[in-house]
Amino acid sequence: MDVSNPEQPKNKILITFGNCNTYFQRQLVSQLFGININDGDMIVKDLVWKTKYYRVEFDMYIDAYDNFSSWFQEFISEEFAALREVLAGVVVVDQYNSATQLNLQGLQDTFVVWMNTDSRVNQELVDEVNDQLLQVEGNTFELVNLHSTGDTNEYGEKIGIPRFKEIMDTCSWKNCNIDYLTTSSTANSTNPDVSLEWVFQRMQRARLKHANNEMDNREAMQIAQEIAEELTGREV
Amino acid sequence: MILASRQGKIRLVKWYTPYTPKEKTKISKELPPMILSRKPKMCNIVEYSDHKVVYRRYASLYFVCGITPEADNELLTLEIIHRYVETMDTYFGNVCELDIIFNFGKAYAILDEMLMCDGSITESSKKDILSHVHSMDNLESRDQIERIMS
Repeated sequence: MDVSNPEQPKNKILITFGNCNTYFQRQLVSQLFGININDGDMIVKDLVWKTKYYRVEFDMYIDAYDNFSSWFQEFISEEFAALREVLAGVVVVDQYNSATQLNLQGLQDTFVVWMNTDSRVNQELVDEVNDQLLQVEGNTFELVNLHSTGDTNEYGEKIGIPRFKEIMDTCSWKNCNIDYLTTSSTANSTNPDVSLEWVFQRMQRARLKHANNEMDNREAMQIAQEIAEELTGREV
Repeated sequence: MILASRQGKIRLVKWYTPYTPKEKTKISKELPPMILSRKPKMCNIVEYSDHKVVYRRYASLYFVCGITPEADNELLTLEIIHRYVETMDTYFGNVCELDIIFNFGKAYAILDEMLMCDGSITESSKKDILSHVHSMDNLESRDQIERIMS
């Protein structure tokens, strides 16, 4: 049976934990996604991922395993094809083992992040592993070290949880309803507290007044300056 | 010039030599995996077909530039890439992949201010490039306001 449906939105994140206590699970989910979950929560719906450019709703599926290989075999089986179709990303939280082989066939549009919990694995090793992974064509798998300190690696790339958030930010969210917040790069230089509706109403009133010769140029300039100060939040 | 993410997704492409759509597809398909598969300590200049390719990695982005060996200088190409990144960095304020995805028009505009349609340098001054792009931004916002007011 062909379960593929190109119209299905890829708006689910699957996070799976290997040998982690529930307190750690809750804490990490809160750090990664900024939400609080309860013990035993397996599906958390209607979550929002927000960046400075867009916001998108997604669902989170939480899972745990004793043996990663058997969990992964089950995950890539035909039985879970429908699930894989709707996954924007898979997050594995466990100690990284270089012997772990991942066949990511069919997960080309889904990011796979392994959050390494082993504090003995340093960032240099993580970068080395990621460099090797880059050599595999069509690879979407990335190793992120949970215990890395510092801001960036030798390539100037974010590390640790900020890197995970960057991966989420640049996720394609295929077929999802994305709310675009702004498309202007200069938007961050404006004052977010100002109502644009109010500004336009004021400008329209001033324009009418000026057209009817009820306002001289000095007063018009004064209004323009006030609006500019209001928009930028500083004196012009 | 091709800008690709570490997942091999192409974020920007700009052609400075006429190619057929078939050739463009071929280059866009072949080049990013070839660059991504190179080890970090390998040379940033690599031969591809009858051309040379100069690339540089910035965080999770790869800036790849195809050049004609007889006409272009490899080290100057590296400098152009670096100047382009620096200019975007100043414009966006610590540029990241997300800025380029959502402001690709601006990224192209900055590139257009730097390089002419045949790939030769138009402007090397970061200050001048930014001033031109900001002027375009002002014109754009003035147009928008006029459109709303009319």
